[in-house]
Amino acid sequence: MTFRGSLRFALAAAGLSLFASPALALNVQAGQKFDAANVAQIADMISPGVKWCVEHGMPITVGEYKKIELPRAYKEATEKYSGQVKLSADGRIMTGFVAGQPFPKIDPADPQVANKIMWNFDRRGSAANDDVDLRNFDADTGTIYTGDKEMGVERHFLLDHLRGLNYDGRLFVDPKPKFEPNTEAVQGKAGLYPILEPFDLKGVGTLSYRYLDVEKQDDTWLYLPTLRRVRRLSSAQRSDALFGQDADVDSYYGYAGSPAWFDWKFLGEREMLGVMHAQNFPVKWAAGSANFAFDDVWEPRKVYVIEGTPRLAQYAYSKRVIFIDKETYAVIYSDIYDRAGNLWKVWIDDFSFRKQAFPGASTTYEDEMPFLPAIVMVDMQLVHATKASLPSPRFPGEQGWYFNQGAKSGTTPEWFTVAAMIAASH
Amino acid sequence: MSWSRAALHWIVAAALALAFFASGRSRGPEASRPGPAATPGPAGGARAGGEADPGTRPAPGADGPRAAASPAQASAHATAGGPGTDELPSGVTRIRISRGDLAVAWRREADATWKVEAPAGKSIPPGLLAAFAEQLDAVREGERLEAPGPDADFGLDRPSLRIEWSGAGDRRGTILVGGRTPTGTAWYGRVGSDGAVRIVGSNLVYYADLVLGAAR
Repeated sequence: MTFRGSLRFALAAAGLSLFASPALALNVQAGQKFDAANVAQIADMISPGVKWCVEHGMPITVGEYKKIELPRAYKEATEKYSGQVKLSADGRIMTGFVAGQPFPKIDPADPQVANKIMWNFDRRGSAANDDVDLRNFDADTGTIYTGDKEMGVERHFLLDHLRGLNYDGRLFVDPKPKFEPNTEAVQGKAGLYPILEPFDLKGVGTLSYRYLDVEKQDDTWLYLPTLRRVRRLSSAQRSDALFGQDADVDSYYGYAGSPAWFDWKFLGEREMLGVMHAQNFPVKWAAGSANFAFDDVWEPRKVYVIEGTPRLAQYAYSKRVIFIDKETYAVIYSDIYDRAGNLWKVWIDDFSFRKQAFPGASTTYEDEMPFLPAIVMVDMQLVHATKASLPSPRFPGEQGWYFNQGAKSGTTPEWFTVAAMIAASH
Repeated sequence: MSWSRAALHWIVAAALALAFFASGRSRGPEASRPGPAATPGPAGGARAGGEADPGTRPAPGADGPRAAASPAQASAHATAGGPGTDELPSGVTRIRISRGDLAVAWRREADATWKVEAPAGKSIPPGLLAAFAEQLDAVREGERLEAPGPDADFGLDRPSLRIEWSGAGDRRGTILVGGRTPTGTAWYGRVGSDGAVRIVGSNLVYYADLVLGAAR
């Protein structure tokens, strides 16, 4: 590089850095432990929602940062197709997408930076799975207490399957890169059914279609066997927490709505603590009153901080502040606010990127896959939590997560029908 | 019209006028909701968790909006009944936030983007500046506690954050943020020289943390 070239590069880099919040020099070391007594020391490295959880007992043990490589096929598709991807002026419509990461060049000075990050999140490499099948998982919901008193479990849920099938951006399982035929023009389908416990909800399920046309709202169906009725949920109702627990469908994984449903703002780039290499599989829950939270290793991660304001009328929340890992585009946690701007809920992911669920598991992947042994959603205003073990420790040897298995794991279009959901309830 | 009928009309009109003035006097200068039953935590306890610099009173600066530069001045404006004092934020065009010695000021440009005025040369993501400005509107949604008790119970004797804003039509105001509420989901605040305590959302305070952190 010539001197003039070097100078131009340096000036460009300086210009870019002007818009990036200065990365925090994390003054934490691997092995350090944080709890309510010393959480102030890491207040800048966690979200207000996570801080609330630590103040209520959630333990944080600091671990080393570990790089996560995205799948080779995803990186190759990014190189091949990203050049042709375009975004509409309002950032809501993406065209030219085939597979891979839509916008690999993220410039904080770009007026559309927040939308591009959210579209990258939507088609993230860490979940660029053609299909996924989560089996045999359970969830508890109840009140958070103090002292040694454990979370008062009000309801215990046991679920058979959470499955997803992508219809575009496919890289691993034929047909690729699109699932044809796609007469409904869907981007993907997801189903959560049947619920096995509690007995009064046995057979309940939900099914959802997301369409390639972002102007078309999701179709979401809820089957209630006791009423023998299929109810249709609006997109705004996706933010409602159902059956006395705290999680809403749109909060799954930190955010499971469409990028087109919110107005997004880029709030900066920071170095924060998140769980990306959980050591415990199945999950290890913390002790005493902190047992609403998992007890695992948090590592320093560079994250994008994005604010989302819903465009949908009657959406339950006024804002989501989402913390997106820069390397994988996985959400490490997401804070949710009410209309007055008061902290309402937090979703925390307990990721464990690895090639096998556990040593000796029957399935080994070529790439590190986004195993998620636990999630927690806390309603801070009600001091109430829902925690899920993915999979449930009740099933020793269960891998829980099955990625890109297609028909081998039963993840076929036939499963994603209302008829199949009703049949499974019997 | 007979004399007696005319007298009856005058009596009815007088009664209506009395009723009108009586209702006008009973209406306060600002509609207010009764405060929640929530009680503040022990003095100082509301600031648990090491919120930055609660003990330092923000230094007034010359680069902020045209609003009162100190609580005393804000109070003087209110006493004098100056235009636009004690306003809830609305149509904001300039903002200055400060905590301890650190202050950041920014203004809205003609193209609706936000630009940092101070500290000079600091660039903060425009989306963050805009998000803070929009979140200021939510202050009006916060609960209002009437005659709540000593300032120290709410951390307002030593505010942890000072927000000054100004807007079109000579509107301006100051919001002082004290300690965190016992639930940990919001903060106590005071708008202008209003004696009431308002609940200020955590969202606003978190964005202030991000802005001040980016300017450090």
